[in-house]
Amino acid sequence: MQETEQLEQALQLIAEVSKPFQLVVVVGSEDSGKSSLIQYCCGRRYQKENGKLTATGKGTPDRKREADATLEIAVLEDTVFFQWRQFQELPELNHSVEQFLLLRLLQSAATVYWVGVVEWHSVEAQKGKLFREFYTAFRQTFPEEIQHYMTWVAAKIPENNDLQGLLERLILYVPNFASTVSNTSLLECSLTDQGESAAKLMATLRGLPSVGMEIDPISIVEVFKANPETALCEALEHQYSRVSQLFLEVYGPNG
Amino acid sequence: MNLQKIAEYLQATFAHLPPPGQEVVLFLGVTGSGKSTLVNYLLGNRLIRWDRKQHRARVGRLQGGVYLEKDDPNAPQIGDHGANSCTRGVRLYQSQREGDCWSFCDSAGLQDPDEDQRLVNLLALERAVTRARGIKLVVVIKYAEIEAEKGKVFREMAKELAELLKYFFPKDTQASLDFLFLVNDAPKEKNLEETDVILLVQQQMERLLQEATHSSSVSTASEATNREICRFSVLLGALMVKPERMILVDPLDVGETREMIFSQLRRMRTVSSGLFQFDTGLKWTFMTKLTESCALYLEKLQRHRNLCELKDLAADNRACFGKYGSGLEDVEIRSFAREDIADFSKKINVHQTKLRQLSDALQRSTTECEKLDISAPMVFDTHVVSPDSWRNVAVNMGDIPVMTGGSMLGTILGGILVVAAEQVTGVNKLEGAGAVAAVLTFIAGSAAGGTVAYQGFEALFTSSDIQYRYEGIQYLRVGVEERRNGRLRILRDSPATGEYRAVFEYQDRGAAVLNLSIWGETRHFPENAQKIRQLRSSRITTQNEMDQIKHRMDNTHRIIKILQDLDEGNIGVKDLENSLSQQTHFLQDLGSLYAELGAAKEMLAILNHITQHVLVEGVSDVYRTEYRQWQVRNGVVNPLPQGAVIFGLPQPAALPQVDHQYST
Repeated sequence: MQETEQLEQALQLIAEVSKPFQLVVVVGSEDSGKSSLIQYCCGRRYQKENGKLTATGKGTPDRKREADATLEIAVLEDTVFFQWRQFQELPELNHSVEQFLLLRLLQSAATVYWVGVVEWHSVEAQKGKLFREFYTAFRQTFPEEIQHYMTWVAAKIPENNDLQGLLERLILYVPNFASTVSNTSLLECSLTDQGESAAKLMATLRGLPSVGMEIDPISIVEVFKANPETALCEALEHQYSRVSQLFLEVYGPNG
Repeated sequence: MNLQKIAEYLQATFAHLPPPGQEVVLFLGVTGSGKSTLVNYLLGNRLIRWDRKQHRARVGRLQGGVYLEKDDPNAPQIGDHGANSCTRGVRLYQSQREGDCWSFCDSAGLQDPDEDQRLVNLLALERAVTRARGIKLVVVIKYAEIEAEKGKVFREMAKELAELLKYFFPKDTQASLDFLFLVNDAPKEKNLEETDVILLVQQQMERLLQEATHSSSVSTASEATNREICRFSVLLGALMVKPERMILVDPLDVGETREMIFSQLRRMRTVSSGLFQFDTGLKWTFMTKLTESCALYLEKLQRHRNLCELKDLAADNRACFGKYGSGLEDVEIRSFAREDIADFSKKINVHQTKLRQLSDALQRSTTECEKLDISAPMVFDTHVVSPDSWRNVAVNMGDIPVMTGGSMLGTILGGILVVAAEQVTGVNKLEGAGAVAAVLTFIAGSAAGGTVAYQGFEALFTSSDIQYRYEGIQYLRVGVEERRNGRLRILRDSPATGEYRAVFEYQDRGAAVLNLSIWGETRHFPENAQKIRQLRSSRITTQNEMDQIKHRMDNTHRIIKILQDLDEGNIGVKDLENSLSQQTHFLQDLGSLYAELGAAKEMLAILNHITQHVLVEGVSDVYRTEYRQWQVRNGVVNPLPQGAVIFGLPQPAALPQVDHQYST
């Protein structure tokens, strides 16, 4: 799909969202289950067959845009879920469009929540190497403040283990991450339940202390601006002219 | 590179190398894949899955992890000690089973995040493999490796395995390789079978191939490497999809999989050690890094030693003041004997002088270092070519293919002069003094006799003369060697420029002299360049040490002043007490010299260890081929820091002798 088409569709989707909306930005390593989590939060239900997750077909987001493993935005009522997929080394990902969209969403959203996905295998394989790599990239990308406001969700924990087992591994293999999360900000999310986990997650997000937690989107932009050394900020700077051009292509000079 | 850590690793590793001549089952896999767990499983050691509900809480044991039921120091240790590998290097475990004797060689994980550990692991692996009579190769894969990030860890493991294959096995033997793949810790709920895993593995290998192909098309620098990876990925892929060679293992089962594994091990082809090779390039890089680090440490050690010469002073200080109490704070200053103070004062003065000398030496060395110019030209003015050799050289230039520049000019000129003189005098073949005389006659038209000319030349040029800017600096070498066999000798070659520096000596008949000027540059001598690099990199350290010395000198100066004041009655005992207590840190500083001495001794032990285990064996290894011997002898490569010889390395003479001379 062309950049312009991607952008057009995504902007269209954003335009349709009733305002004011709340934004949930989801980050995680490749194949961590970000999409499944968003779908689940939007009402899709799953069941496990031979250890594999399959959708039961009930419940879908109000609107969803998923194109060629590029961008994904899902909308449920007043909530927009946005995946940040730059930690995945997929050549087909269009980072400039992704960055532009995030900025637009951040500017328009009334409330912004940040969710990270900790996938079991990325912690278990090779003593946490993959998760360490992801976490390093994450810290280099996002400003320190956002890192404090993250809610982490544990994913794909096998049947013979539990959240505590994951935490034990994190303490051992990725101690700097483990020291920033506690049981309260690392949640277990069972995608096979009937929505209880989603409710718990949303309640956790909404229940965050209001001081600095319900981040004013403007302040987020300010945070980016105040941290010009972050990779995200640099990337935005770099891509801005290209995105402006795309914007012109989509909406025309008067758009 | 952390030498201390490497020494520890080496100690831990080389103590457990399998004895030579055995057939071993070698376990490979990434760190945390469960190699030790599966060796335990094959040894029949009882394992349990750790569950906090069933077992008592214990540090280092993770929920759901598999551990030995009972601690056994002789069994392969399974552990979770952070992100690094629990097993270091290689460990050998023996098992008797239905008449079969098995030697399981557990290895440290591939891709250990600790770079030093990785190097030592590789070295240990190489040592274990080359010592064995034959090996059976078992690769352990944790299921999570295939699952996480769509198999990223698995692909990296496969890539490293492919690299290992490349290192160990020559091309023509790779086709006969045989592996057993054990897949560990597959989730029960997935109800996986071997064929499912093979399918997943196949997908990963295809993706790896695509990645390698893609990156080889975009990166020319790594094109060859990627091509190799592609080739080995295909080879590995082919090995991985044999259903009988892929076994899903549950280390907690009662043993049915164990039988299957043993049965496959019996059927597997043993790779004969005769097929092993080891790419010396890798080891060479390791050794070079190691020797460079050693050299830096040796310098530091030397400086430490200089500093620690002062330890006597600290001991004297203790003897002097110690009798008054256990430490300075407790010393009853009032009861100081005046002689003791005077004596101490004298020693402090000696200390002061030594520090000054040391400081000066360091300053000199720093200044020298700053002045060093790696491209500084050097000129060898060397001696001795008798007239007949001029002639011979001129006539038979083809015998000396390496002469260039001044040497060629001088030689040709000499030869022409002799031949010209022959023409003039009508003598068929002029030799020795006669030739000189004839040449001189020819040149100057004088009637000087041969003997006079001969003596004149001899008086003028009797020895080699090297004009070299850094001649006075001991550690920089210019490399001229005496050689009187009448042959042209290449002292150093410099492949980068294609130039040769040569000294031609011919003394069969003694002393008529041709002055050959041969130009070179400091950088053409590898050990000089290396030395200069080291000096430059150690400048910061030197500056720190100089600062420390200055600090010590200031302190000693203050103490001397206090003692003088006391002696002259300018201050009272109470003042002395106060002043000296303010100087406590100085005595503590002296105490730290002891620590430095201790550190230096420790470092010496480490260096000895590395020298013995890596360098000596490494150098012997290097000397295995004549080509390497030639390279080492001619300074093309330098296997050792110069100083390392002090610590027990055999002198070059003790190393295997070269059979063939590579000099022209």
